[in-house]
Amino acid sequence: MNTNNETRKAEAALHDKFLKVWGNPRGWRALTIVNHTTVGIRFMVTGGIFFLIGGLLAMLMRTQLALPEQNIIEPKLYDQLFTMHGTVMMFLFAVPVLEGLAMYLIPKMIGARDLVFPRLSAFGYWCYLFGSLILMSSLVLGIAPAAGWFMYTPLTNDVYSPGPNVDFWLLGITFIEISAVSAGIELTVSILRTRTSGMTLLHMPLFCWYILVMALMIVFGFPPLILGSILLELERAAGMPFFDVARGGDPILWQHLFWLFGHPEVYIIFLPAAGIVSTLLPVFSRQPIVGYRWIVLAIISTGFISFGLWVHHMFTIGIPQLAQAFFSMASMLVAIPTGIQLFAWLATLWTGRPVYHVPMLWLVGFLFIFMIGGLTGVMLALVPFNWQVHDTHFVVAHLHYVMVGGMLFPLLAGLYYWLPHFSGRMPSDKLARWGFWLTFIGFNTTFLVMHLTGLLGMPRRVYTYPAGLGWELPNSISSMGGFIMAMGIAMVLLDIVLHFRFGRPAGANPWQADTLEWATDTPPQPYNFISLPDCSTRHPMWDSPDLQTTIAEGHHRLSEIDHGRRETWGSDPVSGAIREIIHLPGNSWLPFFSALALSGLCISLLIRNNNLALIAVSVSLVLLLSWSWKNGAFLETDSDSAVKPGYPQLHSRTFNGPGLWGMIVTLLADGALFLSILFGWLYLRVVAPHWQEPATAPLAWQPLLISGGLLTISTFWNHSIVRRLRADRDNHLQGQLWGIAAIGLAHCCVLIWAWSSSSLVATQTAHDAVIAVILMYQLFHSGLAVIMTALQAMRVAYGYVGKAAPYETAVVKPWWLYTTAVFWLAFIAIILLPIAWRSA
Amino acid sequence: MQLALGLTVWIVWFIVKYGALAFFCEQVPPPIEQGAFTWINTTLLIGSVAVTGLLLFWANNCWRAARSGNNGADSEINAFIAGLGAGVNLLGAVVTLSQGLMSLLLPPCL
Repeated sequence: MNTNNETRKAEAALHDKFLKVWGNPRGWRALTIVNHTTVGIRFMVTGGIFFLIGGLLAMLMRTQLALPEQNIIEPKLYDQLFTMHGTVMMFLFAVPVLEGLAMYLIPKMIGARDLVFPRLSAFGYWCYLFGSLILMSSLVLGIAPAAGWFMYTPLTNDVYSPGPNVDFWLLGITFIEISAVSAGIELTVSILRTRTSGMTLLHMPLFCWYILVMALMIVFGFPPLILGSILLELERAAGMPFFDVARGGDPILWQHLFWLFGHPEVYIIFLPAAGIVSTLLPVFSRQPIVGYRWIVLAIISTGFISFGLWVHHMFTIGIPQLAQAFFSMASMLVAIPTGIQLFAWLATLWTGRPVYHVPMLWLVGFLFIFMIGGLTGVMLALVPFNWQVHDTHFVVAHLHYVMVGGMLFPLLAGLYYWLPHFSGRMPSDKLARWGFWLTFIGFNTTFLVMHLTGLLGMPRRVYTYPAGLGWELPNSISSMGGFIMAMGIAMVLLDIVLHFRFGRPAGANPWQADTLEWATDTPPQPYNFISLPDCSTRHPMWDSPDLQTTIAEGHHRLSEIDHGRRETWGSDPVSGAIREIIHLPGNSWLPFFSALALSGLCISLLIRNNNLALIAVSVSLVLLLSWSWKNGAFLETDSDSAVKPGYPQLHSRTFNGPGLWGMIVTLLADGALFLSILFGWLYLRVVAPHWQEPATAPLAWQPLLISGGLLTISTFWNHSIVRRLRADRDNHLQGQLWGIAAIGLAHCCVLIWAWSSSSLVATQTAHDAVIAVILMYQLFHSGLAVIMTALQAMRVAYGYVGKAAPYETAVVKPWWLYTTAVFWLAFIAIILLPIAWRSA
Repeated sequence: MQLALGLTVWIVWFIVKYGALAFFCEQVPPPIEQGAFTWINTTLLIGSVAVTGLLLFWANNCWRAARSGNNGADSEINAFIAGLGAGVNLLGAVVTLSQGLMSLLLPPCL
């Protein structure tokens, strides 16, 4: 008995010490929290509120369409409603909620204390919140975007959509996408580099595989839309033509950029939801998932193949039939990996001993609905059928079967499954079942019938329809179904709200789950685990049911906290072997204020106030640079970096820390953006009907060559510095860094001079406009390289950078390499290629 | 590398194929009445078969590597990666060939 009491006291004392370092502040300072549990919940709650708003917009539309020739909603408002419904559901609900769930769960599932860049996740949340508020304010002001969630040009140019409506979408969504990409980078690096000791890729929970692929898809998939939005906004605000046919642009380029993002987006939403299914099914089937390796293969394949389908949204725009056949075939082949997953799930159910708790109800509902969505997807992949039902309610029905079946049902299954983890309490079985059946019946009543409405020829996006075409009955049924579904969702909400007060205590691991997140307290502490366990099995909680206790008692490793650092393991991406200790940054105002400054920039661009925009840019720059100053290698003395004997060193003492991985993944996203620009350049040259090119090259090649030469010298010099640091030599480091920055600055000056002395007029032709964008892109990267290197030089003086802490130089090196590679690629594209073209 | 290489090669080939089709149809379109048997389609088909061959070769190598391991912990994870690599390459080959065979059916620039 005494021993038990002593153990509890020691446990409580250790917990108090951990809370001092990891605890979340209250009051206004809650805005400084960077912990993944809090940030993940914030994402989910905010996304949930937007889901309700999006649902409300849908209800308004269904009310209008319930009977023919109604005038409840004016056509202009109806246009705003369907645009905002799609936008809210896709950008403000689906992606953020799934990212929030991933942020909340991933560190817990992989045995880490936090995500690897906690301030970045907090920054992402604030960007998402402020961007969403900016976008939603347009609805309140009655000037919401009204051109469809896909924003097709020329409908969205300043001729056909004057006023700020479209600008709200372009600026708000771009702002929100910063958040999505930062979450993508964060999740990728965290999964690869912070798994607990011994968790090889083979032992990683399937949910982590799904999130890893989703995160990488965000990294590659979102930049094309970010670029498209920037180009369209430049066309609207600055008159630079990219999509204007008369000046050498092409509106189809927008469609390519949009769907290069838009199609992977469907899988970005589907994959985490499928991850929930693969996590829950084994738990409720009481046996490991069948075909782990096959599912991993399917996840990776889905991620790739989904990028090759974007044109299947464009089958009616006049693309050659052979090209359509390529995309049609890819669209059908993506069913293979999806089928693999489906059969693995069925086999798990078949061979297990399933217990039908509430989450399982939603999973069964998912299997039924998603199967129908998948089958109509194969139908739509057939070009002739696609032509027939294009832009009818059949497509609306298919989309909702895929998105609601493929995302909302698994999400609600997951919500019910992890509710005890969030709150420590169980939901009400009765209310939950009512909620499921009403939602399931309501959903199918709405959308199963809508397939027929579409086959009867009713176009989508019309605010009303005449009587006598046979569309009255199916529309009335759909509207009734919509309201039944709304009742179901209301029931689910009621259950969730009530359970926080009336739910019975859940206890530890209430579903007898197998994964590590159930080894934390429920609800979890900000540090997740007091000690980090080794994990060389796929089912740690099944193999060691007392894991929660032994972790809390500090029986595992890294349970020292007297140094006051937030720490987690840094591990090998494949084998999970421990490499270093990652020191995580703590709570900070910087993410909040940086996002606030950027939203100020967004608003000033919306109201077209250039002076205000300039101030916002300056403030943002100061905040972000101050962030980078505080966030690097932070230790001033060697004693601060002491670790327990036998432990690996801190990551700031290495060349291969998480920052390097973060930089590389960021550059992958950046590279996707640059390739999208090059795609636009080549596409317009080949396809734009009125492409106009000057007889002589507008940019002289000689100064560009000099500029590129200077850049290359800077990069090689920077490279040699890192090599010398690796050899433990740092003599004249500061002077050398200043030298690199100076040559980099000279490169920027020559580039600016070459541009200013050229004959480019960015508002005249698409040719000049695209070159101007490429030059801006280059200058942005070169300028940042110079600033980062100058900062490094200053940090050498403080002892933050040097032999003892070489980490930051290794992080900056890839940026120089990338900037140089981009320069020479751009040189080939805008100087050499046109010369070759002309001579051919 | 093996987890991404096969399908990366496929996607690069797909983009090249799509881009080349658009370019040549714009610059030097063969007559429609020539049907599917044009120099553009032949080139695309040969390219597809070559990429398929490369992916099958890699799939075979990965498969052999996966089968040749012993029972150590390291070799278990290596076999897992190699096995996945084989699957990814094989699937890439199937997708490449399926799309390539379309060149036998349709004229390129219609």
